[in-house]
Amino acid sequence: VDASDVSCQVVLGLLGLWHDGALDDHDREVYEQHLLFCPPCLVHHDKFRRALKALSEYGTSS
Amino acid sequence: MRYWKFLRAGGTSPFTGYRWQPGEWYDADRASACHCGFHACRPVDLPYWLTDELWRIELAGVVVESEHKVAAQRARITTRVTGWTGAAADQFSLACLRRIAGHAADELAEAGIDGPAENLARVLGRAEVQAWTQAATTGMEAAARRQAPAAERLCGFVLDAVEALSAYPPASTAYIAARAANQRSTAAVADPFAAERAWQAQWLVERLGLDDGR
Repeated sequence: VDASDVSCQVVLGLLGLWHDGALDDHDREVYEQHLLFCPPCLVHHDKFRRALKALSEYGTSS
Repeated sequence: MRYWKFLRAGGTSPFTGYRWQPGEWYDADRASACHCGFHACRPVDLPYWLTDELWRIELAGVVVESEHKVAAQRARITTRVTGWTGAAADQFSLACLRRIAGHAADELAEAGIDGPAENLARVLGRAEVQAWTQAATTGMEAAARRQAPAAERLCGFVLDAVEALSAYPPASTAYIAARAANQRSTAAVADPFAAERAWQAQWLVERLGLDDGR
């Protein structure tokens, strides 16, 4: 993945891997830098994070 | 060495949403470039991580440097950089837009498309977005007629950046500027993308009065 020219499609493909902590350092940095200059992808990232948190809390409470 | 950290509004980490408490030390098990440890910026790293709030951050324990950031075993944010305001961010975005238009004007001139090149160069000092849009559109059309794809693309970048000024954060305009530098058909430096980022870092350091402590 080239940090200077990565598409939203590629970044969204990394979303789950980022949350799993499964990206290597380079891809993680590419993913994170993209989120800062691409608000639509950041919205997807935030929604995914909140959904995971809600699922985790539900799993703890049930 | 002094370090800085960008946080989103409310002092939260950009990606995890964690809310930092100023003055409180945080500990990680170990520091590595990405997965563990707390991330911070050297001055040269700042344009890669732009967001709402900029804080001074102190690091301790193991500190690992990588290309665009450092990661530390222990960290605490101390004081917010009050100069990084919405107005400063707007000025930074405008400075990046001027750089993009400068690249486009130079590319048009190198392709021998002199009239639109001069027209675009003339609007560099002006703040009216309409003038930028008009000059870039004229340049793009002229470049298409003359089959000058780099000039055409760069004029398109000016239009993208004008749109980003009102709708997107400064990180977007900064990224477009770095990509625009990369699109020049002749480059004076080996890595134009990195050189543009270095220019942006210098702008931030000077405008915000950041001192790396060395």
